[in-house]
Amino acid sequence: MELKQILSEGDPVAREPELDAFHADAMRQRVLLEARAEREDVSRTAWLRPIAVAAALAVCLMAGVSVGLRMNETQPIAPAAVTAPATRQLQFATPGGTRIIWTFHQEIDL
Amino acid sequence: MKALRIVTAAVALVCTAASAHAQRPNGYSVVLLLGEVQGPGGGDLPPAPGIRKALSDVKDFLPYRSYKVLDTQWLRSGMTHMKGADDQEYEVTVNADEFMRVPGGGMMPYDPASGKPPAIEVRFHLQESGAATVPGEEYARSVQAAELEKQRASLEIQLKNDRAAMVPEMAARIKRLEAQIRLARARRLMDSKFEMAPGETVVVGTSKIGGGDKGLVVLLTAVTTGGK
Repeated sequence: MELKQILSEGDPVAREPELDAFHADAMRQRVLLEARAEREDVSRTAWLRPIAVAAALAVCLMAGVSVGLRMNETQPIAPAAVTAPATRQLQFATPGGTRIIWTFHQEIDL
Repeated sequence: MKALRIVTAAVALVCTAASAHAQRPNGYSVVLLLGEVQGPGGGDLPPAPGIRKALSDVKDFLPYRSYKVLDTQWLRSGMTHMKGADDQEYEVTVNADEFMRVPGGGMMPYDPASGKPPAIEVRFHLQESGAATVPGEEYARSVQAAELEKQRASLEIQLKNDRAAMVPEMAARIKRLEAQIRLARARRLMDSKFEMAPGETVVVGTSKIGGGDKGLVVLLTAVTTGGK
């Protein structure tokens, strides 16, 4: 048996009775009515579209300008990094065996 | 005969333990000195022979002609306050760990049963009282000190111009400001880690790079039970 034949035999829709003329016409009228109503809705709100686009553009423009202004703002001056005072350390032993550990400071006022 | 051997071994063990105990540091003697390039030679040095020997050893290496004792303390470990020149206070911290060296260059925690003296690793720290403990604090402190100095300068000008009844009050305010400025400008002066032997005196000091006519000198001695 061919596949095409098997499929058409197994198709339940093929065995359903056809719509009668009244129901078919009612369905057609309904579809036409819905399509007309849809078109009217679209034409009623069509004038809003350019306004919505313009509003979106305005928002984008404002956002761009404010970001640009922020970027151009003078950055607050960060406090100068305070480095620990420079020190140098020296360790050595005298001939007598006494060890000296000496720290030199850049700024010290004794 | 067996009892005699046991007694001999016990006596030897006790002697070893006692000798090891005598070799261990009991605490630290800290002598704070101010070395000065100018002034009469010598100075009022403490009579301890270890201190005199240490200073005699270092006299050719340090430029100071005289030494003035500012303060002397004895501490087991930890922090102590010492008085410096011109009412300056210092915080001195000594932390030490005992260890022993093993063949091959390694080291291990000190075992008194070894009968040998320990090596001591000392962390020595000296700072002006109130110095910043966090490095990031220094900027805020320098700003604060500058503000306080401005206030002091303005008060000093007022004090010169105004010879009225407010003078003692203003002088007291200037004194208070000076104490605050000193705290805000407090610095860490010495931070060293070194090894010591029991009884040894180490000279730890600080001065300005390129000389300066004064130096702060600390004679740190690891004092053993025998007092050495």
